[in-house]
Amino acid sequence: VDIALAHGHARMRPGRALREVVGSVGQATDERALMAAYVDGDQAAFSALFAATAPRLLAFFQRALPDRALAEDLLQRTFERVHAARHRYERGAPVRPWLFTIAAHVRVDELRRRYRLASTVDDTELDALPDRAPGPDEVPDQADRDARVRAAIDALPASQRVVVHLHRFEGLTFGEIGAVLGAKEGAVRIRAFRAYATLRDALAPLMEPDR
Amino acid sequence: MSHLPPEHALTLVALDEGDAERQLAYAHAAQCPGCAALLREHEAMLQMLDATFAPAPISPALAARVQLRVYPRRWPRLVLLGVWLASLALVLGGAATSDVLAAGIGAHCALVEAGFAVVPVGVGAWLSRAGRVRLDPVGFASIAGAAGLIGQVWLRGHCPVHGAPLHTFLFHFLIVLALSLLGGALGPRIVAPRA
Repeated sequence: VDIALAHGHARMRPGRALREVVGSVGQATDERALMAAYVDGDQAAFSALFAATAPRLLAFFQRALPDRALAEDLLQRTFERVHAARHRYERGAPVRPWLFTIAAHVRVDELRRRYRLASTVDDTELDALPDRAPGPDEVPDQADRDARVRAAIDALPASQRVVVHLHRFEGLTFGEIGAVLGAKEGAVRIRAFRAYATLRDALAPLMEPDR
Repeated sequence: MSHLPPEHALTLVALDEGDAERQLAYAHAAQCPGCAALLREHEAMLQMLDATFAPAPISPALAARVQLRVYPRRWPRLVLLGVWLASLALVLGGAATSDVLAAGIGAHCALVEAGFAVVPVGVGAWLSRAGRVRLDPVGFASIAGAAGLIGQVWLRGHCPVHGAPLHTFLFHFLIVLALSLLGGALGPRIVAPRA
């Protein structure tokens, strides 16, 4: 399997929709089998796993940080950590939550390094960091609807944006997201509720018939 | 059940299908046309949200970079090691014809420095084993290195080629460094009770 399989992905449907169409069981089983083979030293399995997951991980980093080059660096760091920790992967466990847990740590480590924060800072403090993403109101009116929706998501506080991304686009449950982010399921649920309420307000004008 | 709050409508449709709160909302909407319309409207909004997601394409350069980081090729390391060894061999080979790197003189200097180190390390190990002092590997390394340094100082007046930089570096400086490492590695083993 060539790692180049990861290139040139056409636009795909969101994680949850994809699960419904393709079937999450088969996909997850494939990833578990690939992960097991990779842990056993199969380089081709690593390439296939990379091809299957890297575009989604990169999208996660791009959602979290607007700098494409930095997102690529973080993706590289994630796979370096995955490689170092591959023997700690519990065989048969879902692969994506495990990968996203590592990616979430890489993201937070980068934020702490960038803003010279102590390792004890929580998401509330991370949310207060400057965010360069323009809000939906700053996007020109003539911009297409997708751009305005993306701007609405990007305008969410980082801790809510991550939850929406993992919930809606990766199809993770609140419990899985809690495990990924090291937060309680209830706290994740509250973040999701706040995020969707904010998104509803931001997207409501786009639902009007003349748009 | 009262009507569904519009501000939470997007949340309700976004929840997992098995979520109790979502099921309750849809059960209510089945009996309430207004709330059913509200949920339909927000299902469309959710579709609009979902449609913006696309996995980020991975460039061939990035894929190759990650692959190399995870599975580095061995040949560049072997080449680099070969280059270093060849370079060292050339230096040593070229200098071997002079007295500066004469094996006899080098061995003499190394033995002198090692001799200076043996006794303090031995005493330290004996005291440590007897429980009179507590020495960890760094402690042994310090003793061995310090004693080797005294030997190096003594050699300033007794080494016939002391002024030659290469000889001094190889047989004076590096030997003291090696003695420190050896002291740190061997000292604790002397102290440790035999199985």
